[in-house]
Amino acid sequence: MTFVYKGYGGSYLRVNLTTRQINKFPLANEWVENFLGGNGIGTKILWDEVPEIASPLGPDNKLIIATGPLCGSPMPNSGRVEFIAKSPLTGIYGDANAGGQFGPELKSAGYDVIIFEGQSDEPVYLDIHDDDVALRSAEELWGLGTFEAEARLQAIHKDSRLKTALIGPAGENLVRFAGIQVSYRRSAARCGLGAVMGSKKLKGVAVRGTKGIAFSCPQELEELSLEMHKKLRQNEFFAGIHQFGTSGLVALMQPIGRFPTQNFRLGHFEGFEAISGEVLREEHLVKDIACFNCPLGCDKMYSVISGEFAGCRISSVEYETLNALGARVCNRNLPALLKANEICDDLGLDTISAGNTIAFAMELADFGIWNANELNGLDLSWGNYHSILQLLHDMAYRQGFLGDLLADGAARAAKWLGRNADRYAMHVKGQDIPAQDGRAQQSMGLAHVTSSRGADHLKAFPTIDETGYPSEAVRRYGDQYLPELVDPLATKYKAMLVKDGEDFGAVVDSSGNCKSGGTFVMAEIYWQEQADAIAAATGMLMTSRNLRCIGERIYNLQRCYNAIHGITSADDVLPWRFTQAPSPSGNARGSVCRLDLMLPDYYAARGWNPEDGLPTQATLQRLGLDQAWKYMQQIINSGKAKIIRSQLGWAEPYTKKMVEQE
Amino acid sequence: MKRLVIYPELCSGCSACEVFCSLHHEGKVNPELSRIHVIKDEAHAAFLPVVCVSCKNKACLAACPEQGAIYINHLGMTVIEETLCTGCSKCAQACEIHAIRFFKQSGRGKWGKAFCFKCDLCAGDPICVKACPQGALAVKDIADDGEAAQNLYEQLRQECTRIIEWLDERSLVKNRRAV
Amino acid sequence: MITVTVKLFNLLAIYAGIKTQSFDLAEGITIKQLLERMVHEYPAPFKDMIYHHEKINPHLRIFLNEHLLNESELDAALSDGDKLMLFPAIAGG
Repeated sequence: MTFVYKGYGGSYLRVNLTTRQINKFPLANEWVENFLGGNGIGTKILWDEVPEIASPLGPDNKLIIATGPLCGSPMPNSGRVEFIAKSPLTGIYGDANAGGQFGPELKSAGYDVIIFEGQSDEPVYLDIHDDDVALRSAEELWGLGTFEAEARLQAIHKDSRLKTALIGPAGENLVRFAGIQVSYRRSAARCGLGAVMGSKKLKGVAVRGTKGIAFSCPQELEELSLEMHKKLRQNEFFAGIHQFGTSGLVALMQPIGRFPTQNFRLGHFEGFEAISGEVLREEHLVKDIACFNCPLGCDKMYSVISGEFAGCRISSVEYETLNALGARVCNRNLPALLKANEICDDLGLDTISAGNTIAFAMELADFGIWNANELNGLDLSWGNYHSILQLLHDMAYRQGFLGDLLADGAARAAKWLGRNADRYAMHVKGQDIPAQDGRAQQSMGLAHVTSSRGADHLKAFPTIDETGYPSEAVRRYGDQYLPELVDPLATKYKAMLVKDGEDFGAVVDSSGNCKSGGTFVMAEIYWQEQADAIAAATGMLMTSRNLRCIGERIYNLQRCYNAIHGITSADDVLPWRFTQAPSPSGNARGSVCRLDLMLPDYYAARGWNPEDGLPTQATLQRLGLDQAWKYMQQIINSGKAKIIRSQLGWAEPYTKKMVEQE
Repeated sequence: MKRLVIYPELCSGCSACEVFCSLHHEGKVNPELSRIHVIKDEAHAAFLPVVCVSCKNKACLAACPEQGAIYINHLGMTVIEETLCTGCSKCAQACEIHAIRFFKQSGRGKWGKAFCFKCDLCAGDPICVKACPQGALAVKDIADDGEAAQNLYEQLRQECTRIIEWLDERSLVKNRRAV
Repeated sequence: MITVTVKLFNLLAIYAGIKTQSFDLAEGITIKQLLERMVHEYPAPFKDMIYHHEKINPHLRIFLNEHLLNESELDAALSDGDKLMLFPAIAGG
């Protein structure tokens, strides 16, 4: 079969690490017609090829790297690449996404997708230079941090334009929240996919592509894209985000009570100014930098010039990191926080999970749950940044009792420990909760539980109701849902907002553009604009209706994949703090997250069974997923799903009412 | 005459100029085939967009052995007639700021042969300037007394040399003509 | 006289050239009137962040003592010790 569409690299690689076989195939037309690319194709391959019984760190798991039709295109923010595998952190569907330049380079070499399967017995990396593809020994790279490994690969190939996707020691040591670091210094952090690479002894991928990407209607695409670039630059949100990136959100989250502090006990951080985006820019900025073809440039290069952490140099310091390694662990020392971020990026750790796990450990220390010999002299009092840096290092190398235990993540550590530790593991489906609080923004609470990769804000990415922007809401949904839709504390219409965000987000992640660009916060690109761009790029007949269907199909298949691992509505829960303990902070004071009101709406909007929260036969049939329905029924009815669910390895989120022990 | 002016300190390294230039001139996105080229040293966060600034010396013109393969057009811009170019790359070697690029994959290019290519200023309204989100590129009317243009060239040459030396130190440069 | 503290963030702080400022105000001054005064005190680009077509910029976020204000609440009189936080349009993760 020949691949008929433009805008893609046009072929994919299947790399068997056990046999060292590399095969090249044309991309399948039905893959892109039904699943578009990136996240969608990855989900399809995972569903087809990685069975429910496959262990995340075993040879049967596969790592899929995938770009989409807009990756490397002239459309703004078009540098995203997607990684998909079964997650070692959650045991269910997992993905991670990164910007930078790796995705466009891979496509320019002619490949949209790489499937890694099997396991190598010695360290290797995949070397791609257009048509020349080879597995090479990574013996001398194994053990190196990602910064050094990237520089070494560029020197080996004598090419500063070589782009890499690499793991650090954390991935090699199978830390369950190890990320993948992508050129230049961007992270595909979540779900522990770095450990999947580590289990396969795959240090990384180095790619150089010089073929370029051809499009179906280049002139039309050029005009459309230039117009989009212009619109973004004129957007009301552009200047503030351009100046500060996501770090500008630190201050905004205080008065709305949505800045998780002290392991989510609080929603505001006394003295937050010390770690705010304003101070970060003022004291540490080196230069504004940007991902591929991005007018926004939320990325920045920072450095620490003096003091204990002098010499630290780090880019893309995000809101999430400022929270996870800052307020959540009560750390006010910004240079130490930057150092912590540098360690995470270099050793290859997800900053969100790393911070959340340390917050968990600190809260256990607060309540005297650790034994003295377990702590081995480490002072885990809130805000002790030397201990934070030590723990990051220990987790990445699985050193010592604490390092080794916590390298499995808070939710697994809680299960292993017992001692009521589960009460302090802030996670959904094994995934650490990012820096939002469903009490202060109801839609985010719902988004955390319905996300297919466990607690996550970026699947639905609701932003119009953060502080309430009616004009943005009207642009997308008309005025029929106002004022509730933009009220952060209201629950009405939030199911609709979350479902729409998830479907559109799945399409964006399958296209290869960015959710921080024009697609969510700056609401310039929506179904119609995205469809027009995909049509001009690929030559596919693409309408917004088609695209909505693709988004729904992808998200439903991810839910089905989780269902064959025994996930049901019983797992769509938040830890007690969000639903039982009223928020003590700011605008959210007294509020709890009302999942009980929003989830029924959500299942109804999705066409899922209100009892078990799983897609119904009618829904899956409508989406052309009949086979998936049959298979899902078979696995659930045989009792297999339940058995797998019982072996996922993490402690259940603690959901009972509890009095704060403060 | 109209000239492209570059402000390297504003460049974020996003490559939008390369994306739109290659799309506009070649019908596909391929930074390798872009007439403007961003030399990047990411470790130093140094980005230098390099493009022909119509210098006074025009060493490229003198270096070309083919009749009519390089000429000066009505805008005063040196232009390569790609069909007449034999791909000897002497012009590219003569330009010290690497503003002329060389497509060496013989038989695979659009002309079925190796050839050199450079900026033609998009008839006075360059697409890279429209695409640049940072204001790192601009078109300015700079009188052709040679002096000002030569200064632009000299600044670029120094910056270029500095970055390539950095890259060289870390053995990141295979071919100095294809940084 | 009452004293009110204003904290400016993001571009507002950049344009105003200051992050925190205390204002001594006559009693009965409303939030809108204080904004008007700030517009006169700070350099020109600040004004465009506060007003949009002569009205309060709908993307401006104003918190009074950590409570998010809507437009109708801007005519309320300030009290001694009040703390205002002002943000331009930002949103995200």
